[in-house]
Amino acid sequence: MNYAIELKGVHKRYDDFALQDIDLALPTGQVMGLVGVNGAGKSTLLRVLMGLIRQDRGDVAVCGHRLPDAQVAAKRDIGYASDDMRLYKGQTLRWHMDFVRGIYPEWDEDYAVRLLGRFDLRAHQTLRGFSHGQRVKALLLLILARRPRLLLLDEPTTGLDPVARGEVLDALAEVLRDERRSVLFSSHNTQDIEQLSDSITFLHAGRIVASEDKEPFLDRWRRVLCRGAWREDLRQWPGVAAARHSAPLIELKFADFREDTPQTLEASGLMVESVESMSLEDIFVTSVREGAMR
Amino acid sequence: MSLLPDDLDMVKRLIVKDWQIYQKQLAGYVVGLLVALSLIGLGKPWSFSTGALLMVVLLVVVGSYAINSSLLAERKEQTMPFIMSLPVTPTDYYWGKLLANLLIYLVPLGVAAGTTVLLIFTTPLPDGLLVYSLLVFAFMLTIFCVSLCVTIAVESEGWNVFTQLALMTLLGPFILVAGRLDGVGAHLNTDRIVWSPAALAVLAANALVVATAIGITTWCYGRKTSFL
Repeated sequence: MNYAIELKGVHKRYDDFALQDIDLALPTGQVMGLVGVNGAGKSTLLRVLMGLIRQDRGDVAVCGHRLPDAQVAAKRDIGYASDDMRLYKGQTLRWHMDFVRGIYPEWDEDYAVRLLGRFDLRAHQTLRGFSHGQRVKALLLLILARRPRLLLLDEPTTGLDPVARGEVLDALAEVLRDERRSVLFSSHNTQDIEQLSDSITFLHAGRIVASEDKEPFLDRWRRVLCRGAWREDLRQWPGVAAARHSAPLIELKFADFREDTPQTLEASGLMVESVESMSLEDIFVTSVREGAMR
Repeated sequence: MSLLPDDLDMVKRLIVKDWQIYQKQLAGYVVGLLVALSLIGLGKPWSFSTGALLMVVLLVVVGSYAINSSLLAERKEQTMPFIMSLPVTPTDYYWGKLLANLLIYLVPLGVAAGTTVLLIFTTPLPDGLLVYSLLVFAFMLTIFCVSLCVTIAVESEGWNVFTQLALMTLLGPFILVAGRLDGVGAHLNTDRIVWSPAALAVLAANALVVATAIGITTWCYGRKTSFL
């Protein structure tokens, strides 16, 4: 299998934070969502993948290029956008497009013009007059129009209004139809990740706590509502990530739900009222609060 | 360690980028310098002093403006992540910034120095002013280069401001001392152009300081294998 991203045993230590034991692989053509709270290490990980930060140890390969040594070759294949990235506010979008076009021979001018229309951007307006949403879309235009093999997007939809967010997600969805293109994107918005990703990686306190295909991952989690007597040992039940008593109901969240779980619960004296799927957001919040995947 | 640019074409693009971004403001400074030079060219004592003072101030300001706009503002306004995302190495970025800033500063400095030389030879101003003027221009270039190198090498705004202010304060004493240099002061009001050993030594010292500053900064940046 070809991998767009391969990390093995990657460590990066700072005074007050460390990225540790990172093993991660993204097959070519797949979309991976990176989920984590602020300070979990998402941006640091993406910067390591760009060759902007040298890892203390471990191997990093992106599109077949070893980093950070082959950072120039890798960056030719990567489209990277982060929420702290800004364009030159005194220059027009057209100036930026010409600047990027001069660097990347793969620049697709027809596609760039199409994106201008889709994003409702004016090429000859200076960036100073752009709203935050327009600036994000301009940045994405500059990245997408050069047709990179890998997109690394650090919080691409942060701060966007629903309309702009929808436009950005639609554009990304279009890009994802190309099976040779791979995407790794981080977001606080788990809905975006749930909507676009093939696989999900949870990062917490600098460590990967889960990295799996989305469907089986979501399928393992269930919210079960029961009636019966509350017992503290319910928290220690196999596969239970969180247990809460709000009389007369008992809410159990399973990180590893099995087909026979309802029968097992019934056998222990509880009456199962409902078994529900969980959203990625619910899973994320539960995981962080309860340390369910640590 | 990589001391030389990895991709000259990319360095050229970075230089052109900075030039395009700051050319309008630069044009304003050049217009100001031309006004200052016109005052010098009038040949009256009051206009000469006013013009010379305005020229020195403008050259100091344009140097500070170039450094603050293209280096410090790039960090503050977060355009640097955009540049870092392009296929550039830290060494390419360093050479791009160094050469772009030198270009941005050398244009007004060149206009000022060239026009001053022209004025000295084509107006009643004494030709002996030539050596003194060129020493002052050389010193201003040295101050700019050292400030630029410190700003590139030390990513601390506080140190950058301190360095720029400290170096600027040396300009006044230098202007006074250069006028009293052996073989310079004596010919200020004559039409003889004399490159005395003292004047040549000052020029050589300037060249040495510039070369050392650039050499140290190149070495510092050459050791960087990643941007952050």
